[in-house]
Amino acid sequence: MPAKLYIFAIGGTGSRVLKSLTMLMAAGVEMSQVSEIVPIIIDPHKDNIDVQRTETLISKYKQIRSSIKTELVKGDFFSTPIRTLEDIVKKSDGIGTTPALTLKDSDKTFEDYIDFGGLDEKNKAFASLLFSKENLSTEMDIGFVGNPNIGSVVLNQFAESEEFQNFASNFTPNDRVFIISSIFGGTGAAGFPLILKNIRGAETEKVQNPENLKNAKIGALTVMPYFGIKPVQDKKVIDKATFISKTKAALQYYSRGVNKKLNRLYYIGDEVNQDYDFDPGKDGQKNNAHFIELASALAIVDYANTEDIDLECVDGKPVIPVFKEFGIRENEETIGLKGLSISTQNILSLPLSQFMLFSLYLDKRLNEVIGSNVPWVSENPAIDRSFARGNFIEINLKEFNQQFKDWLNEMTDNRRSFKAFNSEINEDLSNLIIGYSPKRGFLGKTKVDFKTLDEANNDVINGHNYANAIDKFIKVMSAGTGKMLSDKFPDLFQNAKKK
Amino acid sequence: MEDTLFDFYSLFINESLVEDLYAETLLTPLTTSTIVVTLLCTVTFYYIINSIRFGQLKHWLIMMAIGAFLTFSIVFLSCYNMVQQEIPRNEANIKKGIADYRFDQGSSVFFTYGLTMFFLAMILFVVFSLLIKHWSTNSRKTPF
Repeated sequence: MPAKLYIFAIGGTGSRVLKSLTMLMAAGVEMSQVSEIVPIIIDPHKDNIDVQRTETLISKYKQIRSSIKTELVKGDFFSTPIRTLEDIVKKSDGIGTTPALTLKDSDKTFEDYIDFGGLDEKNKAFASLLFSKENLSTEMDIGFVGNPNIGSVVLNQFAESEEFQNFASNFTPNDRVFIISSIFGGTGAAGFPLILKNIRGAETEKVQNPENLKNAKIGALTVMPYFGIKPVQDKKVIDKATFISKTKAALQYYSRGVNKKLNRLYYIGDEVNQDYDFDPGKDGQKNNAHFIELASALAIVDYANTEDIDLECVDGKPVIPVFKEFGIRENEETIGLKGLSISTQNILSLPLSQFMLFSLYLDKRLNEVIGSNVPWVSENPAIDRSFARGNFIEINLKEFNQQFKDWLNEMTDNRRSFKAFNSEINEDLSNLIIGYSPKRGFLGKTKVDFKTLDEANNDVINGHNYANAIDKFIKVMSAGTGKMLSDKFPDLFQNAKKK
Repeated sequence: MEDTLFDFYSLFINESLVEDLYAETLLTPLTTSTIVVTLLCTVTFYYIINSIRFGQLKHWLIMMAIGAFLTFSIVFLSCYNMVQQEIPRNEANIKKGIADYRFDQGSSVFFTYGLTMFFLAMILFVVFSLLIKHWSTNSRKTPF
């Protein structure tokens, strides 16, 4: 039975985690208990570049996925489909074509939004107790600027939104929900409990299928501080000194009203972090990708691989709520695949290395091999010049690939740094995966280059027919990269099996 | 077999040499070694080397040349070796003091025979290639 995983990605962190998840899905990371992903981005910050980058990435992913006509199998690149809410509902009036939810009146100041001027004196006084002058004058099109008290008011419109109504009416008992939010900012901290409340507390008069929602399998990720903000003189802006206190306060609140409603709750954070420039928002918030976001995406992978029986709910209450944290093997400033725990290596090392190989092949080998007599390329359906110059490669795959490389580079440059691969690679792939050397052959060190990958591809193509060049390219590269890595870098697998 | 080969080689090899080869029943072993050497070279190219690094037309031509050269060497050296053995063609002539030995045609005839076998080996290499290349993982598109 197909099961959709609805992911509510709230705020900038939500979008960035969703981006990391999209990368993992492109790499073919297994999500065994769900058949497709439906992301819903909630962020009032219209110019948020992080959101825009994620939307573009998802759009590319969907285009690539829709170009593939053959059924993809577990482990293939892009094997798990991503669909937006618009793709699922037949009647899409009022739903945007992107995964981002449209918040009404988010271009107003908060003061105008609550019609502060129209309040009577008592209510004004009460509102002034809850919201500072800075809160009231906040222009919400740049987000809630670290103020969850604003977010908790504005995001209440979520329950009435067309998106939520359509989500509710299409939600089946097989489906799952996952909510990504940061706990130390404004949008995520406010949005997470609110979305949870609207799902678990679904009422007949408000939504269709309230029983399905009440007993929905819900997982959530709450991201604790993992970056700071550089102080800005004379400006009352987001202050990183408040991150920990905000986190403590929110965790206390979650322990009372949130945790018990969740089947799975994942906590993540890092003390080793970097201060970003303060971005007031109008120029667009653009934070470099961070390892914590990748690790956060692994929480979603873990949730998507959890069997239904472990996520049961009775009368709107999870039978066995489980709380998880993420850990690494060594507390180093820079970590690679070997710095990850064995279970994380099991999930991540192979697919990520496969996609890295695929990415390099696209950049450095594809044009060279076209027109040669390499069987997997020259046999029909041929990977020829017109294929390489077509939209699939030039517009979709190469642009996706660029984002993948940027994502890896940004994680490398961030703090804590995640550097899994040597980016300065030309022909010789022996040193591609940091910490791993190719298996030694009978005569010593074996050569590992793109021709080795071509040979693996030739091997996997045997006995298979492909509908078209696109299907062939994706399926052969998925299987070929896996074969080459298992042949030449068996440590990638063996390490993962050691306990 | 030897008769069939005699008829075949008589078409394009010095008749006297073919007769001597026939008399010493060398046509079958030399032909067999030509086939075996060529087949080994073809199998080596398609199944043992079986590599993209060594799978282009030039590499296929190199393997073909190796097979043909080995065949040439075997044939030429076999004939030369037979010269050393001084096998009488006609005992009566020998008794008369006439040097009538087998394989007395001279190096140029052996060379021509070797060259003929060289080209035959090349043809065989092409035939074997066409027959077995389809099951090679990396070289099945070589030479075409």
